[in-house]
Amino acid sequence: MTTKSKTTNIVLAGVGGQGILFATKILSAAAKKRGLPIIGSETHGMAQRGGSVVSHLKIGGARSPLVRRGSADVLYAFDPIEGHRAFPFLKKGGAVFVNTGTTPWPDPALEKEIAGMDIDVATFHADRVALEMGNPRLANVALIGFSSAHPKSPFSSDELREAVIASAPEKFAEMNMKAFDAGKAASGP
Amino acid sequence: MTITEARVEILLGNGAIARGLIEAGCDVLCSYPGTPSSEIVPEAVRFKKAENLPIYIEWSANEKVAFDNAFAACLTGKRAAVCMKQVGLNVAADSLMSAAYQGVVGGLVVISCDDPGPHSSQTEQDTRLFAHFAKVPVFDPSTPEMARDMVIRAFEISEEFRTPFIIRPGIRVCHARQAIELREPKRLGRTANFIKDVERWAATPRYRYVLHKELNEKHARMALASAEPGEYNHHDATGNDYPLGIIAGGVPLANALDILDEFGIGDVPVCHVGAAFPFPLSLVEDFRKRCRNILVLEETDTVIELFLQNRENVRGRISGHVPSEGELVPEIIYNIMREALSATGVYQLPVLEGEKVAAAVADMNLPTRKPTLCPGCPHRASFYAIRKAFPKAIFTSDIGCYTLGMNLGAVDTVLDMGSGITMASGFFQAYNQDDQEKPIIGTMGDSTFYHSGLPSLLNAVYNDARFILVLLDNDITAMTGMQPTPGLGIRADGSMGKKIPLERAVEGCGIDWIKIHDPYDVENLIALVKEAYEHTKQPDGGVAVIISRHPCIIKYPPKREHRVEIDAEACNACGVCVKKFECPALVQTGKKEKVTIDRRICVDCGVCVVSCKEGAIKEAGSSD
Repeated sequence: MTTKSKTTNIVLAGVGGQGILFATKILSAAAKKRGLPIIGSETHGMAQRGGSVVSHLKIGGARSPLVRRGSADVLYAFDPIEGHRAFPFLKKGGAVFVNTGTTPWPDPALEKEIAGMDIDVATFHADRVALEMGNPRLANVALIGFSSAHPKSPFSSDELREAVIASAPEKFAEMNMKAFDAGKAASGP
Repeated sequence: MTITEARVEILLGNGAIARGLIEAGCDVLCSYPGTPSSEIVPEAVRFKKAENLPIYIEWSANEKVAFDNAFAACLTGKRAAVCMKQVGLNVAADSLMSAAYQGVVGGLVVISCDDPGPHSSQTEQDTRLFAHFAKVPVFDPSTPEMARDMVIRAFEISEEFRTPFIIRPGIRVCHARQAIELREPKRLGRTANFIKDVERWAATPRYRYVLHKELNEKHARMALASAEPGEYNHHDATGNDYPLGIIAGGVPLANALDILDEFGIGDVPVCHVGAAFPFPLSLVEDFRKRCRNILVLEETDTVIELFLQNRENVRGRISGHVPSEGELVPEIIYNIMREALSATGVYQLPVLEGEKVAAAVADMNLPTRKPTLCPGCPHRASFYAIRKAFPKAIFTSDIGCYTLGMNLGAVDTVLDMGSGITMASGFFQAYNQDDQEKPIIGTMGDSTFYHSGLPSLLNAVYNDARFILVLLDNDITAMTGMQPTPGLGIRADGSMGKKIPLERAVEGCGIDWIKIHDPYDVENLIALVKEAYEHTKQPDGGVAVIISRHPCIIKYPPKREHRVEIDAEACNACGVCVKKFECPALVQTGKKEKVTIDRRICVDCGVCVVSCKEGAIKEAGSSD
């Protein structure tokens, strides 16, 4: 117990019904594929009914499932307000991928406190992309696709794409892949 | 650190518990759903089907019923388990207390899932204290994997000492996900063989005294075993005079170990208490004496701390260092450890990161997102109608999604399972005693009615209480994750059982006035509630029951027939629909802003049309 251990900590925040659990599954599947130990935590029960939902995922040998404030490497915000609420989870040098149609994000009210934290912010209107595809529920996978090419993504695009296929029920696999690809395409070259 | 992919599955904590039951060769599993325990049964069903196992699994009508069914199974020599949320153990308490005296034949494992927070419960009660009260041993797992292993060990000890055995995973175990390597299921091949022993299995009070003595002796032997350093109770203090030692169990133990690892703090010994009761006294006392200061981290109440023989240099709940309510989330544990490590001169942890950002976020006054009924939820239609019919009635309600009827001002009380009826009759009797007339409307879901509504309604009828009962029948136990009900007749494994329609059960309780209505037809439901009240006032009247029947829209997504639209010209921005109908798909961004529809979540049920006096909400054309 004398060496400092390092885990990759991920937080996913949004609103009940946005498919946060499924997004968590995708990331877990990617970690499993690499053979990494994972532990995480989900919101079930009453809070799922339209309340704030936060999922935690720690990759690399942690015992406790919750990510501590100020220690997340990556935050996936499926809703801009929930992204603000979960922002304190981020550590210095972390990255946030947020589904929002309004910029600037984060709100300038946070500017002073996060200046100097070296946090990468990547905004993407996943809702719009999903609506254009005719299914608002695909925004979660579109955001994961968007994030996948970013240098701070915990997994490569190929790994995540494969994880989407592995995690989706067969009849939805193609639809999910399209959403993933649309998200990835939006991150641009 | 890597694990091989073969046979590794990412399991929910409840899936790991189910796996433990399967690997232990459990023959019978009975349960009533409740967060955070609800996924154990479906996961066990999944394993049963995938590996073609003979385990019998049932959703029982309530926790006491589940317990008794499992108990009988264990008397035949089989391994049985019963699982529930922590407050479900209150319902099964009578059975548990008695079973502890009588003992078991095959192993009996009781899984009672705690909810520090609370996130989805009416109390934060600590099942370890319940175990103490019942004189039954208890395990307190820290991780899903540990929970799986504990289930297997619990069966062994249960059979060795002939005692029921409790496992109490916290919500952060139940709803954690972890990659776990699966083992082969044990196939014990036991056949039912109940050996009669009237003195024990039908013990009279006189023999109960003997059984109590036997239990106490068993207990003393179990306590000795529990204090032997083993897999779940042990410590790593080898020397003496440590400035600080930590005694912990459950999820707080996992958090404490992670923090020590993360910062490479190697000189703080830790005493693990995974088997909290019978309390491993000599082991823990040995540890305490080796440390100048002690920090106790446990959830949700005090067990370890209470048992310590000297609390002079102990930081915990009693000393005020650890909060006595709420979940010990990582931030709280970090700050408690930071203070303890610093004050004892062991280590200086940095100030918790993210605090300033958190303060800035708090200053933003973000809209709080309280849980609401889903868009299109039939309960919303029922509550809207109930409230419209009698705005000033007393509204008693119950546990389920429909507790959220409080957002529509149609829920005044929620005590526990069944109280939607019992409190309605209680209110009636209290008012009636003073000759006061008061409309009282109770609401209760279908699953809750089968759970504990039956005796409640029977009692109300017998004692001539007068109120309206609206049974919210959505054909499912929705809140806990869509478990079937006796009204649906589908059983835990998906097979068909005997269907017991709500109206038959209601009739059997002696109700003469029963109407079945689809709440989406709001106008007529309002009229029906008024008619029901008239019945309650007749000399030969009684409790009036409306079965408000419409399937859960999450479980059975409706076909969209019309697209709901708002005529922006007709909308006068009064906001009544947003406040009174309270559908999250109706959005008003400011007081004078016109209402819009959030197309992301609207299901085009069209029920909100009734909430607009201006006729601005319309069903138009065909929906997309």
